[in-house]
Amino acid sequence: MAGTAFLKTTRTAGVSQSQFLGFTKARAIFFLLFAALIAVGPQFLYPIFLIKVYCFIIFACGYNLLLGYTGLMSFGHAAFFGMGAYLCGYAATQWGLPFELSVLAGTVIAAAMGLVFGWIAIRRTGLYFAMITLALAQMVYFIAMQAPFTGGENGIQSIPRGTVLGFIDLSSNTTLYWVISVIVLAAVAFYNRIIHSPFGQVLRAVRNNPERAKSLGYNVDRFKLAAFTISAAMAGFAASLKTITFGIATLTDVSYVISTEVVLINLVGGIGTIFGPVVGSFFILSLEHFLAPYGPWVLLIQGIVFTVFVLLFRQGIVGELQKRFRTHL
Amino acid sequence: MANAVLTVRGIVRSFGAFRAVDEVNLDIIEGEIHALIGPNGAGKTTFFNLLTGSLPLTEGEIRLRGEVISGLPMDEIARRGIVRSYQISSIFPDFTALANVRFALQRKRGANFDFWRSERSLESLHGRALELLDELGLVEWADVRAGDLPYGRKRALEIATTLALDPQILLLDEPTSGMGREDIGRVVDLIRKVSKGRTVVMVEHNLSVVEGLCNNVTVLARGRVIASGSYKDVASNEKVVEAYLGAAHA
Repeated sequence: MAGTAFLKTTRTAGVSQSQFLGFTKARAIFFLLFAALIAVGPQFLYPIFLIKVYCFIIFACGYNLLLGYTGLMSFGHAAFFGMGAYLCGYAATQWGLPFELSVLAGTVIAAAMGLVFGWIAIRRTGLYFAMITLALAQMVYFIAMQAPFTGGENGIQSIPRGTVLGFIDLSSNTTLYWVISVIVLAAVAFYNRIIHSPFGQVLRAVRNNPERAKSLGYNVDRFKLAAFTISAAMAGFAASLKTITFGIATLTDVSYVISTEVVLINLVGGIGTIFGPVVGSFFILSLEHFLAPYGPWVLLIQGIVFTVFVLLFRQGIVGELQKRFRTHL
Repeated sequence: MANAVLTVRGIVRSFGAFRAVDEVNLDIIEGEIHALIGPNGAGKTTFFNLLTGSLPLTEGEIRLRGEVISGLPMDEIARRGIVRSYQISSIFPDFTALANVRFALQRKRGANFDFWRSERSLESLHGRALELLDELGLVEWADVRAGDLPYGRKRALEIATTLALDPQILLLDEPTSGMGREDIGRVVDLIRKVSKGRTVVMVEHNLSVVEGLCNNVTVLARGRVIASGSYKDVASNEKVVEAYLGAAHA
């Protein structure tokens, strides 16, 4: 037992001793930097654009939980994003539900769909898993085109923003901005907690060596399904916030473009990193926003970005920063 | 057979027309160290895969303490107390050595779906994890990424991880493979130590390890049992000599 007592006090299986809001020191600095950016953001950029970025950060965090920490690549997350958007919009316009319950409805439907799609898809791995998710999402797209409640090509329009807790009126862009800002910070902290929880530890092990995890008695499929469902719920939550912000839910939200965009965001930001989704969302959505006047050229530039990152920076921006500063972000 | 903790009856595993395990019957007695030996391609690892549910049976039945376990998924069999190590070290390469052992202890502790709880709640397992690492001579490597460990240390880590589950039946697939003499001695001592109150089944090529450690030996060749008994009995068996050295030496 030589050395054991010493180790008990100093070794922590990679968990840093000093933490802030559940973040290690380096991540806490990054988190505070992000909070500072949020605080000054509206001084320089249009708040509605920033809100869109924050919604995609939540979406991308959920996706990274699946791809980066569980090792499952889905091409079908548009189904959860799109249906979350539709149900939130429908709940607010047709049922007259307040902001909180409309967002909850969008989140719950996405989680329920994630549970069903995940149950079907986790029977396969790798490319087959990805193809099943894509096929299921295409079926949802078809349903969204045909079903009357989605409004078809017109989508659901004039969705009211409502109020938070009955007294914070969201009709002002500034108020909405601060409400969504608090939500995105909480969502990133929640995502960090999932990754650094006993559950997150199992997910990382499943990605590392699923066969060994099974041989140690872990029901790997159940953990994959749980991760898939949480990821889908986060997609629905993000989509609901976006729907409330823009007052519209359309076919674009449920199209395969959304599924590929969230992959691209994580690839550029850094798969398997906490802040990859944050950096990736800012990068990709800024490209789309600032290059919008150039029309279809945006797609060409996105293609070039994708190729460059796959060939030269496979760990993404945050992954490269981690390597350079020898830390975990 | 009396006191048989694990009963294997007529198990077959076919890959197309090839029978990797062919009509094997075996009783593993409670508390014994049982060796499975045989030339390369005899079906030893396939047999282990069948015992642990890693591969489905084509025919036959396996019972643990009288209960049928064949057909159960691998994780369920592990939870019932049959845990294995692998021929090629199976670890979590991105985890530290300490986190590898802690991960096995975590399964026994439960509450693994707690996504709201901090990872720090697992620190209560560090004491036991360090004890296990210490037993395997790995305590100095506790903070090293498991994928960066030397080969012999990886094997030791895998055994430590397996032991962390305190299994009823420990299946060791070539536990000393690739180890130096000093490490082999350490692992043999450890197996002897952990076998107290536990049943051990091991595939092993090093016959001096088998001779010094095992109460019973079963010899497989071409998927079939060709001899069974004490090391002395099987070592003098003509069929065994033939299987290892060819008919000219029998």
